[in-house]
Amino acid sequence: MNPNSTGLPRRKPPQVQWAVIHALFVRNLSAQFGQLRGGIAWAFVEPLMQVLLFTFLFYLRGRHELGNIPIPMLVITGVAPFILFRQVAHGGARAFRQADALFNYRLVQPVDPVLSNGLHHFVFFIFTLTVFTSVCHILHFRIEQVRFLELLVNIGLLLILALGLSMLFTVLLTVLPEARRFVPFFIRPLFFISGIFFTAESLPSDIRPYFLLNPLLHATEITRSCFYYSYTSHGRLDFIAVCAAASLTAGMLAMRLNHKRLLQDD
Amino acid sequence: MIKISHLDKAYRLGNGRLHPVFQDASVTIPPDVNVAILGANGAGKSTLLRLLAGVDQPDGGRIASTGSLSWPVTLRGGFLPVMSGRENCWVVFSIHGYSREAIREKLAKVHEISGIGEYFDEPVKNYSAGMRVRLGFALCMAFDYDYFLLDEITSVGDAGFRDTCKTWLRARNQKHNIILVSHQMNTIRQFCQVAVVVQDHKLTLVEDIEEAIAPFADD
Repeated sequence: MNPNSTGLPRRKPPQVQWAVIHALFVRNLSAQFGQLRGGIAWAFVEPLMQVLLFTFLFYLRGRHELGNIPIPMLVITGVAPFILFRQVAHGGARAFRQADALFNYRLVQPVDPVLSNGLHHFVFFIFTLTVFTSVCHILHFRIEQVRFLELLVNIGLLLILALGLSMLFTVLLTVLPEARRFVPFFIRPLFFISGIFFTAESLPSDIRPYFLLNPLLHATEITRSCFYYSYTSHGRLDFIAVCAAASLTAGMLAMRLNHKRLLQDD
Repeated sequence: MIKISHLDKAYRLGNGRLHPVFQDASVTIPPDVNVAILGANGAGKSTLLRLLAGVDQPDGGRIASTGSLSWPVTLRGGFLPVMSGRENCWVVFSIHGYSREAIREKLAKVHEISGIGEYFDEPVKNYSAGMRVRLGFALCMAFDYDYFLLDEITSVGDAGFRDTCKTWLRARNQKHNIILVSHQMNTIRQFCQVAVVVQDHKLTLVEDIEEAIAPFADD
């Protein structure tokens, strides 16, 4: 085929893929702005509700801090990474289905909507965390430091972990649509075991190793230690890195092996 | 010229069984002709367009073309229902790497060709079938492909749209060719010089259009 006969600029594959992801990203944003009144503010409602709820519950029991962290900061450092993980891991398959019509254009590959969904929620995560920590700071809740680079690596690894899973779910739900009912059962319990309203240090030491098999708990722990040097963190970046690498490898392999099935028109 | 050699394609059905569409199908489409694709329902006409467009991958065999091929323009149109016509077109142009100014120009052109007026800024889910096809056709016409792949789109739409189609395809015909799936023999007579018949998992080129149409004509 002669690419010049279409009058289109000659582009390298990564440029094409970036153009596709970018277009999908803009589309998602405009959809989110357009659908609900209040638009982007809705993205903050869920973390805000969680923070208010848990702060209220902890204050009822007379606790203002846990693990040396003020409760609102404790909850937001737990719930923001969790929402990022859930929306990316769980939302990828939906993004894939919704972009179905665009597979009519050969430049659009099955992985593109999944990646675009990841970018979308990563941007929202940055917004959420920035806004909430700023508000906490303004309200004079103690924040000791911000270890920005470590936080970025930590969240980057968490994002890769979630992207790998979202590729696996995309393939699973395409090949076996009935599985749709079971995915939430896998995601939902993670809310209770990922340290959103507790710290690894506060767990009994004989069950702590089992909880630390969950890479999300590691991510929560490291996120907290990025804001508080006095925090006793049990999170390990290398553990998340290994999980992320395994997840991404499995996800990409599943996408590649099912490439034709994913593109099939049905 | 488009050369299809030893094409194999099967789909996996819901019950897990493989349904063969093409088995060792070969055909060579000569250059500078408009091609009709004929065949019974379910014979694999739309699949052939999808394979030509590179939207679907063959299980075996090769498809080689000397010119560029459009995406298949279908009744469904490849649009995202919650977005407006304009936004949908923006996504497609943007994916194809056009600059901001080029997109603005092209959008105006698509708006004009489609003739859907104010509906251009309405969500596509509110479109009638005819309007969706008008938009799909207009969008594809904004590109400079050597072959336009059109799937059944002439079967819906009013006389006005069919005239638009004709005008544009005639104008384009100087430089571009179409590959058309249609069950309307009059349309095929108007536009196409040769036909590819899809039958029994094979492809056959019939160079006389009347001869090709005869088994499928209902009058």
